[in-house]
Amino acid sequence: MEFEEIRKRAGEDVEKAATAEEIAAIRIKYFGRKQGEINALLKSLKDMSEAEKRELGPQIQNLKNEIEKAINFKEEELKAEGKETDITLPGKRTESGHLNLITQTENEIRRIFGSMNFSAIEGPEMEEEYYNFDALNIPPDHPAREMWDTFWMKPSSAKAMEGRGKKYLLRTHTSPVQIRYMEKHNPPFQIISLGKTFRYEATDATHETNFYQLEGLMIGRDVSLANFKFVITEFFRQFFSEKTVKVRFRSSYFPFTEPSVEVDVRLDDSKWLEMGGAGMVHPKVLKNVGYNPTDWQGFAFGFGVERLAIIKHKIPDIRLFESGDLRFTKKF
Amino acid sequence: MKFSYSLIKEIVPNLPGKTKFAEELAMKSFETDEISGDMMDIKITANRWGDASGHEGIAREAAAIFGLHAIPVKKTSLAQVKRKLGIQVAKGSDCYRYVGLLAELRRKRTTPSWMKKYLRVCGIKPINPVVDALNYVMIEIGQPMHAFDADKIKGDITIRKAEKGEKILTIDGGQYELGEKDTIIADDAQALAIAGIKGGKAAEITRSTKRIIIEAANFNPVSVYRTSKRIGLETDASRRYGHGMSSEKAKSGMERAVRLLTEICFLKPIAIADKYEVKEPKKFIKYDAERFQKITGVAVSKNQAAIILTKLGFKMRDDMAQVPAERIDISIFEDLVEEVIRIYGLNEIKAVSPVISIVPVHDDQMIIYRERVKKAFTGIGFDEIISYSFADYSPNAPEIANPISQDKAFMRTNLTRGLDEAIEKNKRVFSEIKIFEFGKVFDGVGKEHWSLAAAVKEKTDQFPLRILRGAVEEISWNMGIGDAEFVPEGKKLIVKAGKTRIGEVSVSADGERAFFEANAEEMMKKSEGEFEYEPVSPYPSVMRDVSLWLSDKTQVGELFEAINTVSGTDLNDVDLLDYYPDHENARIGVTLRFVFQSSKRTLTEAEVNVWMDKFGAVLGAKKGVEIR
Repeated sequence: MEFEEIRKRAGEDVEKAATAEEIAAIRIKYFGRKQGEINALLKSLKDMSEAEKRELGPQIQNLKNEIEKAINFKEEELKAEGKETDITLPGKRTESGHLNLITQTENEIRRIFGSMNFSAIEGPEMEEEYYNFDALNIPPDHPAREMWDTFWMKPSSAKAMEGRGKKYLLRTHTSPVQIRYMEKHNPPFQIISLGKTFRYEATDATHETNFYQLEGLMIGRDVSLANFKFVITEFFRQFFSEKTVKVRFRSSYFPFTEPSVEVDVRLDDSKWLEMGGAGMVHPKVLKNVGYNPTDWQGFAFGFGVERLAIIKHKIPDIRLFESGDLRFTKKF
Repeated sequence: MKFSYSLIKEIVPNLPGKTKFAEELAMKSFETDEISGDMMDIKITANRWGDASGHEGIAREAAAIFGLHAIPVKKTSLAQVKRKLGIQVAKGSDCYRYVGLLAELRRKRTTPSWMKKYLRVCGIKPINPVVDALNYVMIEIGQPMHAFDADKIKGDITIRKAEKGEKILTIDGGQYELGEKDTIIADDAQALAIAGIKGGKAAEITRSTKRIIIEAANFNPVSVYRTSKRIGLETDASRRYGHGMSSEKAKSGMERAVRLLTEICFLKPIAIADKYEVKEPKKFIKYDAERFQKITGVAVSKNQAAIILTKLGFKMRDDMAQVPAERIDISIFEDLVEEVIRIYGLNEIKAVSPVISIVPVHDDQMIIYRERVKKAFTGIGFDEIISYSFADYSPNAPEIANPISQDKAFMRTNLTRGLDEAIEKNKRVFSEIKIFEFGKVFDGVGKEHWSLAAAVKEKTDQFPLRILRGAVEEISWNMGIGDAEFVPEGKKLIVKAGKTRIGEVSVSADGERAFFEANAEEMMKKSEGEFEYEPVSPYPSVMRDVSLWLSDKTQVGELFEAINTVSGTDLNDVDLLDYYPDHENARIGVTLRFVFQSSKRTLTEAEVNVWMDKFGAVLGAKKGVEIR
């Protein structure tokens, strides 16, 4: 039990030491080359049998390390005396950058739909007339097309000038991405598409010429409106972090869905809020991409990303998102 | 579209109060706003103008919604009018049906006040009894009507395409030049009306008109729509025809008009013509209750469905639904599903979790990449900007045919300008600005790519270019580009990954703003490799600092170039430790720190000295460089 005694005594010695000199003396007392106690122990090892060495060697080594550590720690402590940090100084902020609220909202939307097994896909912002309108069962030369106030591109080639070849526009919704995806993939699947869209309209607090849309599409053997209600209610519940989320449908019309509905949401006991359009994908749309509508069916929906953010964060004006005003960006 | 609540109630006498009616209609049929007084604003969807652009159609919806009886509108049959009226429909005239009736006005009376009231609620100004009654037929049953002064017509009426350059003066005083694609109603001398759009002055009804020809017609909707758009004239009639309607309605319109005009003006029909050019087939759709449930998730019995469809005007025989003629929007089973579910109640649909086989979520690569880049940028203190995709002119920029304003007439070809504008907007509020944008830019019509740009605005003594370049180095490294290089080219730095040019760094003339822009798609291609582990050297590094004077014509990049010419050393890194312009003496003080380290052994003082001599020699040999 000699070791225990030394350990205890050394601890007390270190504890009592109040000056650098005293600590130096303690160091010599234990580790001095001539009289150091630990040194003496280490030296005694060489006269021991192999079995003793194996047993006592590590113990002595541990004791040495322990005492050395205690001495070093005390030494540091004494050195630092009178130079303590003022721990009450205010923080010096390291500022990280801020994502635009649209990006944050998109990320959140992708996370929630990802959790329900929806993959995120994208498509071009400058779109062919076919994908934006015709493939979606929006007839040419019909007032239905006026539901989407469209920016058209000036034809750039001689061929296009004569009205031949593809006509381009700025996509008025993210729905063309559905068509592009379905042309290349077989059902069943569930996807969302987020991105910038364009409408030719006068801007005010609720209208923008450049805005973002969320598109969703789920196709399977028997995907129904009831399934849509489940998915979209679940989405709103997570997105708005609300316990009581009610969703209702109103009759509506979109050429690419049949039946078509408007989706309203009600958070807690507030009033009903219009969120966007939805419905069962029109059989003509399915035919246009080469699916057999008797085998496959499903729902599609389109919501405004800014609208979701405006409701969630109580933002008064849609124009703030793309204003480039960093005071707005840095708030989120 | 404006509707009169009391006129709907005349057709459906047990209609609930206006508010209740508006609420239910909004849920089950159309967006509806209650306006003050008798007026309601009902937004008829683009597919329903054919049947619902008149009070009768809305009344039918109401009858179905509330399970009420609708009183049919009273009409006068014209079966006993035997004399034929001379009317020709030319081939290719896009006229589907033309019913014309020659009749005499036997007494002049004024428009009844009830009719005037309904017209006013619907936003139509009363003019004279004949015009008012015809407008009333339009708001009541949705069929546009027109009348000509029969005694002003020379010869027969022909429905034909206009000749190139044919002119018409319309009732409202408008002058239009028509072309071969526009359909007109004409007599032997001239155009009397632009078909489905507006009547002409030539045969206009006046106070002294004694005999009239009433028109109830239907035209190819595309033709009416195109003409209306081309000449820039939209009317209540053209909007209805343009959406498309059933030719069956022409006859009911005529019969209703005759009934009303008989009451008001003692109308006496003389001769009639019914040119039914394009017949409409009867439509039958089989109702399938099982498929209904598969689509909606709601079980509705066959009987319930049949009751709803019958109220909406369908004729049911077993599972077969005959579609009412005016419902041109209904052609497939899914259309029936919509009719039944909306009236039955869309909110009877209960949420049911879909049953699917899960597949790994597979987001587009660019989405994942973009999120990572954005995170990396915000991590080093850059704020994200999202700016408009529109720009003013720049060479090769795709042009918008109908821009919202002249300074937004082109698509952006880069993001840098948007960032510059953002700096301009924010510089009064923030002294130091670090921003980035990740967005689409446009290389031509139908050509676009993802671009990544960043900008730093700082006082020149803080070297914004260095801050930006450092950020780009950090981001490149973070995004898996280990070999990003900055090669000077004129006043810019070209950013290269290996041999590929991925972007460039530039600085404003005053040196306060630095910009970086890269083709993000190229960057992503270069980022796909993963880094492999390289062991950390266990041997100590040796540092040496060298201070130099540069003439103010010499660039630091030249020093690095010179250093790179020396090989065979264990030089690990060279840092620019200090850089300060000494304007008085037209020189720049520079301190470089050389860091040597070997992965195999501890370097000796002596060998490092030898290497430093070599570096000293190549630096000292450069023109404009003086070692301090």
